[in-house]
Amino acid sequence: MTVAEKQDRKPVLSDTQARRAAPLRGLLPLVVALIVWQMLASKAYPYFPPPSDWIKALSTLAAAGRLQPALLTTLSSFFSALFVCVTLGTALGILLGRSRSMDRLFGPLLEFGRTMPGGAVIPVAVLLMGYTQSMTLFVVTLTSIWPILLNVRTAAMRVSPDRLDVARVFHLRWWETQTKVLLPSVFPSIQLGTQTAAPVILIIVLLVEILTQVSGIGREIALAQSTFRSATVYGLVILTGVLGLIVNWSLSFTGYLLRNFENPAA
Amino acid sequence: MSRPERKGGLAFLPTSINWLGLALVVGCVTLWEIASRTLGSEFTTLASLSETVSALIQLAVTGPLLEQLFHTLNVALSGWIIACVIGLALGIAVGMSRTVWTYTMASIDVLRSIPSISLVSIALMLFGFSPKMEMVIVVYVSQWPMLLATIGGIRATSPDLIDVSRTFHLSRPALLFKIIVPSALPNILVGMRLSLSLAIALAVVAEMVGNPAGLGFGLVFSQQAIQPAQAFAYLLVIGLVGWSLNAVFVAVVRHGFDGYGPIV
Repeated sequence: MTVAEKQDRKPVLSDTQARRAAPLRGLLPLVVALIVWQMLASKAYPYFPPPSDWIKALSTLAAAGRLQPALLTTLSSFFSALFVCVTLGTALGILLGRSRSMDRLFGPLLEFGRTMPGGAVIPVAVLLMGYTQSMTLFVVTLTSIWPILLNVRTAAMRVSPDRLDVARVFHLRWWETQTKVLLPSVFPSIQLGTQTAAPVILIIVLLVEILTQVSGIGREIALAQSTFRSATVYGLVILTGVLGLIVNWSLSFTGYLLRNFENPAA
Repeated sequence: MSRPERKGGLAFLPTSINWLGLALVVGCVTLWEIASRTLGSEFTTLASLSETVSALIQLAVTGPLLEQLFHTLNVALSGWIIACVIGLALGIAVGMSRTVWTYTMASIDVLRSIPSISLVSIALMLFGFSPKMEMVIVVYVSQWPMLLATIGGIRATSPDLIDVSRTFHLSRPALLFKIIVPSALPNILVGMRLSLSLAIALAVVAEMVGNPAGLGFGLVFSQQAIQPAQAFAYLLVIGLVGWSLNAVFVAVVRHGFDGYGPIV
């Protein structure tokens, strides 16, 4: 029982904090692996092109003027979906967290929606809405909003009654209570939810692009793969990895700042 | 992230029936049926509930649905088990040793940032449109949460507990199995649950873009054949698979590991 109690009191993020401190020396195995790959790669294994070829393939794609628009499309889909997920997820999360009846009303739908395997919605959405930008946005929101919504809902349920009392003492209007008391209270959970949701958003954006082959990095990957340009595939995969890394790093840095702000002693 | 359903979501083993929630579900379904009947002439790609259900029955009785369901379940579950074993073993190795952690963690962080879906293309190149490719993807992707949860759980073990083990002069295996793994268990169980939902999602995705078998293939096939009723039926089945596997896992964990705090 003590084990469980101890675990309970632990901040949820202790593992992430431990991860944030991971020293750069840890990149060593990866670097060694890439160097070995570069040295061992030969024409006999066309599906394992050396890392230098990945970069060459990417610059060829960029020189042909195809990389930049694709990257722009993917990024704009990513950021608009992120924006929708964060705003909608926060609003719905606060609504469900603060209203018992709303929570009961939407409970079963939430249960079903959040366990729905991501990509499966895409074909049906394509049938209903066609290959459009709004279809992408709809699909990505439907599959990635859950971590933000659920985190904010929990935080909104647990907002300290004292804070709400303060709002009452100051005769804050409804809107002011939402923006000045509730929103700041759930801020860390928005960050936490976004940290989980953002990689999923990137994945679903790429998946939509791969499946529909209309535009974006996903389309370029699918094209390169179906024409067996293996170096291009590796290059683009690394590019998406870099995007993923930037997203992860910037979000965990935000979380670090937030935690320091909330609790400078820790 | 995963705590709220203890409070609100009563979809699984309800202590009291959530009539309000049920009413909304029934309302949505009715609205769907009405909308598809009245707008049916304009939106030919919107299948009504009745059409979906009859497509579902047809697919199950004469069509390949059951076979596809079995295929997807088989790949997702066996892939999940393999991923759990790999993730747990690697996680213990990285979590238990400070040196191993220092010299691998940054690499792990970089590798796990590569979006799983772009790796499907590499797997397609290497293994072709095959069940092997599907399995490789499922295992590779779903071992990450397990690995990270195990590392996190082990590293978050309270120093007091380690001191206790020193006082009792526990051997290293005893320290691992009597102190560290039990204390990391809540994290490990969360990792297992995340892995499970990833395994299902990735099995379906791999079938959609690669391996021509299973529910994912059936879904994409009916979309391309413009059979909305069948596509809706597949979506329904995939959703139910995801929901019920999650519910079974949560039930088993709650029953078996009661007292380990809020696990899922």
